[in-house]
Amino acid sequence: MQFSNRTGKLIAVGVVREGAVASDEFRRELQREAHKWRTSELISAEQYQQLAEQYEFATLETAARDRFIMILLGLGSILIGIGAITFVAANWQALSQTVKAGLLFIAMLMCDLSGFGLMNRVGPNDRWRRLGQALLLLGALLLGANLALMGQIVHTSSTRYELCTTWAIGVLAMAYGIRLPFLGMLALLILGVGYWSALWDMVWLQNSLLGVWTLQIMPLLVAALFIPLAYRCGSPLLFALSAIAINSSLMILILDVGRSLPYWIDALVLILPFALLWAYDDTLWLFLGQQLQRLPFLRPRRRASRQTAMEPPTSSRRTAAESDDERPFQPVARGLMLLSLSLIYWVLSFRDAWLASASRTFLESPLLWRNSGLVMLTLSLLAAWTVGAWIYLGWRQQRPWRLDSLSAIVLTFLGITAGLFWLTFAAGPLPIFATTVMNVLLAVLSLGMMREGLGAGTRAPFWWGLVMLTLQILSRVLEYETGLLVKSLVFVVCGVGFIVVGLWFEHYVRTLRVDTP
Amino acid sequence: MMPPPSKSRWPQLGLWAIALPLLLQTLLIVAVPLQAAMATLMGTTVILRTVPVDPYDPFRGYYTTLRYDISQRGVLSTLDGWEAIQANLDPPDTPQLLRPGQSFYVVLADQTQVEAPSATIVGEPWTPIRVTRDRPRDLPPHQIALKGTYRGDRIVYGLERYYLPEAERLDLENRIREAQTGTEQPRFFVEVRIGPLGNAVPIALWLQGDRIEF
Repeated sequence: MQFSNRTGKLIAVGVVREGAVASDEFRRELQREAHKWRTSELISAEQYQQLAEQYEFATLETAARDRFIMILLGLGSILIGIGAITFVAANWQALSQTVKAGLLFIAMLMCDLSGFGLMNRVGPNDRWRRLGQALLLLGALLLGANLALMGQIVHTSSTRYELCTTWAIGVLAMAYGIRLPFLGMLALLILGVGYWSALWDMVWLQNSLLGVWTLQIMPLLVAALFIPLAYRCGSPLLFALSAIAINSSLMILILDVGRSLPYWIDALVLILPFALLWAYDDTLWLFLGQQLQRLPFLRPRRRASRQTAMEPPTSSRRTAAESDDERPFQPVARGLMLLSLSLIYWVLSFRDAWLASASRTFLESPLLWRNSGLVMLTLSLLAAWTVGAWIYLGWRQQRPWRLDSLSAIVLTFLGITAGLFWLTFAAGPLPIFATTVMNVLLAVLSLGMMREGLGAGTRAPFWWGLVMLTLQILSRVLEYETGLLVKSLVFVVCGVGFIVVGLWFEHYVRTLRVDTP
Repeated sequence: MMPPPSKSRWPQLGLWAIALPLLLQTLLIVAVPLQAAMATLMGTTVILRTVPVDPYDPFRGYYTTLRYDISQRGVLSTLDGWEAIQANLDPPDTPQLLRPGQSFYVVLADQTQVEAPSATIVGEPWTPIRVTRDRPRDLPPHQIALKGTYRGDRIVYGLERYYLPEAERLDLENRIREAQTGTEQPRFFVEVRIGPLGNAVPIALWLQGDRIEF
């Protein structure tokens, strides 16, 4: 009985991951299990051998060591790169600026070319490939040193943002060329450093093209530059980082401009990043591509341009084959959404967050971009995309529009949150009511995540829900200075409540069929 | 449909995969000093009065932030032509500090040449005489137009940083401090070169008559 469950799960996971490179953890577990199956003669030695070949058990022992070597090489490259940048910053006069520039440029070329050569070698020798990747990482950092040196030579007054943007573009081009996701992450990191520093020294920005305008459309820029790369490399991590970058820069715009909008629009745009993340669907790209191809007048030119934009989603689904799932990145986006939503709920569950005095200084600080059409364009484009994505989410072929239960619940959550914002904006602070609603939402969300985590057999949502719930209880205990007797009563009531919910849920599970998506 | 992925996890990449990105990176590197190089090669040397402050940039090292007489709105507002451009610089109802800045030109004149046309004393500051919205043409030889960008009450010329070697930085700081606390009027100037389009690049510092260039 126990065996069949476990085997079923393992094989199911194996089927899902077939074609993709299975994780070390899974392969190790499979190796252990397969060994047991062979000794208990559930499978023959041949079958074991086949499994061993398919999942490369032989390389399991070396995998950890190889990864360690990779980390050492990568760290080495990063340190050398930082050394080069610091060398530029020292502005050492014993070498003339021309010699320094020549040396640094040649070093960059050498690193990139040799790294490319090593990485591009045919043959199974992974060792050189790893060294090649490390050299390419070093080359990307040396590009920054070169750019910084050039700026230093001519005593440029351009800000860090302008340096970082130029640098990120160069690294990004390299990442596209040789399809290395970690170079994309490096480019995103550099861009992020520039972006956040630009918010501080925006007054000094020299170039309007690279300056204020790009800051105002940053969410769109990141989406256009990095999401296709994430598909091209089939890298969920790069997708997650891009999604964080898009939504945090979007939030900056919303927090700034939202205040000048009517209350109900402000309340709605405040939940826009969450709605955007939840509704993200990989297949929407494919769908849009198909729709565009149907438009006759757009065919010759738009199709070509669309193809470059759409190319990663359509082709990489087959080539990269990160997962045979139709939607490789949707779970990532949804996970991020739940993570950030629960954090926001936690922050807003404090009473101070809803008190007038706490929010006044923030709300009265001057607007950065009140009259900017570009900000409005960015917001409306992303809002339109979000609405479209939600419509697509409930769209069924030849059936009426209907959301799946999970998405409907999330939509309700977002609706309640927006309604609460609107009420606060329109009627002034409502500390008691808003705090209560937020606490209920946070508790339900945490419990829901735990439930989903248990149902889907994945640990992360379960543990995150548990952590958030514990955090919430601890925060409430520490926040309110009430008598111990009252506290004790609250704990007992909460405990009884949980037990009742648990028993009800148990009953519910027995009597009803629960559909887990 | 795409052909099925090849057995190898790492398809071999063509040479363009490295050549194109490298070309772009090289262009980016060359583009940084391009404008400054043009100003240096084709420009005119001008001396400006300044006040230094000292920050640090982790990528490009120590620099001194230079603020000029003409960086202050108060100084510019005494010049000819200010009324004409002021309306453009201050559109009503805009906390416009962070919009792309409005650009204008400051005309500078070499006073020593006005007083004694044959003298060519370097190391004396030029003085601003008027401001215009459009780039002035046909200026007399002892005058030149410098392009500035207006942001709120601050005016930026692209001349705000002078990078200093780490080794000489403290020494220079001390000299600046001495000059500022001394009895004599501090004479701290920046030598810049202004290109044909009004873009400028800082070349050297002048401290109490000594020229310092890095």
